[in-house]
Amino acid sequence: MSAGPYNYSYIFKYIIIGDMGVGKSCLLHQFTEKKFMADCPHTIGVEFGTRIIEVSGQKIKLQIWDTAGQERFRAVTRSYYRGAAGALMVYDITRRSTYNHLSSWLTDTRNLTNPSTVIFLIGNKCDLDAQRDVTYEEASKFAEENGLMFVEASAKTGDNVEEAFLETAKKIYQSIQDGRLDLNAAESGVQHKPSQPGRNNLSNDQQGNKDNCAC
Amino acid sequence: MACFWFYQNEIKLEIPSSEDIGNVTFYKIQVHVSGIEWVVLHRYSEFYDLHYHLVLDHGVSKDILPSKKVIRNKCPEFIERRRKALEEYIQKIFVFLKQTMPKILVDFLCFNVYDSFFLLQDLSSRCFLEADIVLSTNKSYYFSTLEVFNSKAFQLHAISQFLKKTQPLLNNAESRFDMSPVLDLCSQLNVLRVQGSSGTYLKSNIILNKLSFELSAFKNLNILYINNVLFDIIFSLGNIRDTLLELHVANTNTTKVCQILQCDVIHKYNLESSQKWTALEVLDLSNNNLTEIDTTITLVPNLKKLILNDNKISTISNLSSLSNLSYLSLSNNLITICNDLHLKLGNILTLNLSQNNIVTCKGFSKLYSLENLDLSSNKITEIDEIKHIGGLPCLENFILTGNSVAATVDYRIKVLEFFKERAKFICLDNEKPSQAELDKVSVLQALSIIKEGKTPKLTVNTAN
Repeated sequence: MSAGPYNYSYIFKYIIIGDMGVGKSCLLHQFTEKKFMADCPHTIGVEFGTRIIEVSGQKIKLQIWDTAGQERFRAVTRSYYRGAAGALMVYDITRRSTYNHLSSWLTDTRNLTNPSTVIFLIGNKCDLDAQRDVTYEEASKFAEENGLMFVEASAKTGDNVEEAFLETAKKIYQSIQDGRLDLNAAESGVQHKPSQPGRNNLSNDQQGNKDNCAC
Repeated sequence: MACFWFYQNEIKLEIPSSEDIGNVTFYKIQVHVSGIEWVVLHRYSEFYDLHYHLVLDHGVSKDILPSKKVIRNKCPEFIERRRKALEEYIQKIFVFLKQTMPKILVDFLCFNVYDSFFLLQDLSSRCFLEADIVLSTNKSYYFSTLEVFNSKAFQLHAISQFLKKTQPLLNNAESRFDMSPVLDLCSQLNVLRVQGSSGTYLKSNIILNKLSFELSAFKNLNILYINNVLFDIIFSLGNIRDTLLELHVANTNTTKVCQILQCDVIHKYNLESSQKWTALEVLDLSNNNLTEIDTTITLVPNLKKLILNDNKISTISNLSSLSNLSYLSLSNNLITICNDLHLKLGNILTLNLSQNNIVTCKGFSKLYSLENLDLSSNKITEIDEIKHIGGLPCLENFILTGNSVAATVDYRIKVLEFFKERAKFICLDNEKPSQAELDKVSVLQALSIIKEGKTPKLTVNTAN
């Protein structure tokens, strides 16, 4: 099959959450455009990004909801937890308050997503090690206590950004393989696209059927 | 509505006139029960049958009914004489029988239709016979309950009346009266339709929509349809706030959402958590006179589907906190401006704004979650407006017919062009793009890229 932009077998929905100014939009921009956005404006409501990645030979399209951190948009952004397969929870390692608020973000996430949602904790701005306010150890302990995956990243240098998004996808894919995540559930945040829709729909479908039979 | 037991001594029966219908003389019996009155038409032979049974079973003396006459029974003097005699007769037997009120007399005077007490009695015996069938089919065939128990506001009023004041029970063996079958059925019912009316009820002066009722007898209601009922007559909702999954309200002339969701509350807009409709997921308030979506909508925190077609709403408001809302329909309203919809609506999948006055699509540009968008029959004239829709990454169905923009040359291709490489996934006006259209779209895209002075990237999407 040709490698067109619509050749993927899964869609995973992500949501990025965290306090205002921790660098959520920059992380998304770094991930989708591989560039650092220096003067990133405040997000109004919600932004959106997408990228196709590969996990275990499967092409996966990530649809990423980048939410506004400002309190006044909280009502609107809450609705995007619905149907998210992955949640990236971001804090700023140079501002302790953003770390302290994590528990409230975590409560929201646990309440509004389904149990199979993968939550990934990202300590952003790790390039500013000199101004560090939150140690790696305590954040990693917090993550461990709450069963989260954790990494320190930098949207500016691009360190660990790719890894965070990919590791989350791997974990979700693992859940699908284990059967823990029900693909047919409406709010699972994962859509399966068995074949490329469009012109060669028919032939692909037949192929797909054959594959199924072989298993 | 009449209540026999409270006004037993004020009931008046009259036969003021007669009527000729299809060459048969009918006598018009007028029943007055303290302000309420209704009319029953009976011909002589029906009086005769009634009399026969009353004589047989209830010890009415045989000779009080005016006698039969076979010939010349159409002359006006005779009819007038008979009318008077029948009036005397019906008054006499009523005085004699009103303590026992045999079923046959109740039916003859239509007390079972207009009087809350006898109506309930009727309902009760029907429930006793049919309730098990209704409830057992209910479990397997969900919708059969709709047909079987199309409750009238009238009957609900009667039930409410009963719950309010315990009425004296008849001790007579024949008309033993027991409310338990009715309450039993009500408490187990899942689906209820309430049909009101602003006119008078049948041949009486009872106005249905002035009869207040309540819903506390319904303990397990999941779906409630209310049609043509004034909401101020519902004085209690019981526990349906916790059980109801779907609420459909139509033709009520209500202008405010609070009149429906807070119909049992005196101080509207005073939102308290006890007033929350915790289970409600579908709210259909189509065909009312709503002018705005007021803050009371937040009393339905788990709402998934909101249908407000055919109202007079001009702005989308107060919906941002409904985080489960994924379907919103506002067809045939007065919406002109939709700015920054992504701040008013969260993760919404389907949005129907057909038959409004929308001119610009700018406000839709960040509604990234949208999968189905219906903007048919609006006032969109400029093809450039569609560029705001073109960036929506999840859109699959887009309807734009009935706008003047749809009449422009090469309309479909121009619209599809805005969707760039996603064009082939867009079902425009319920039609998937044809290959010819897609080819034209990719040619246009290539041209515009060249115009911008860049070399076209050779991604082979459509050709192969």
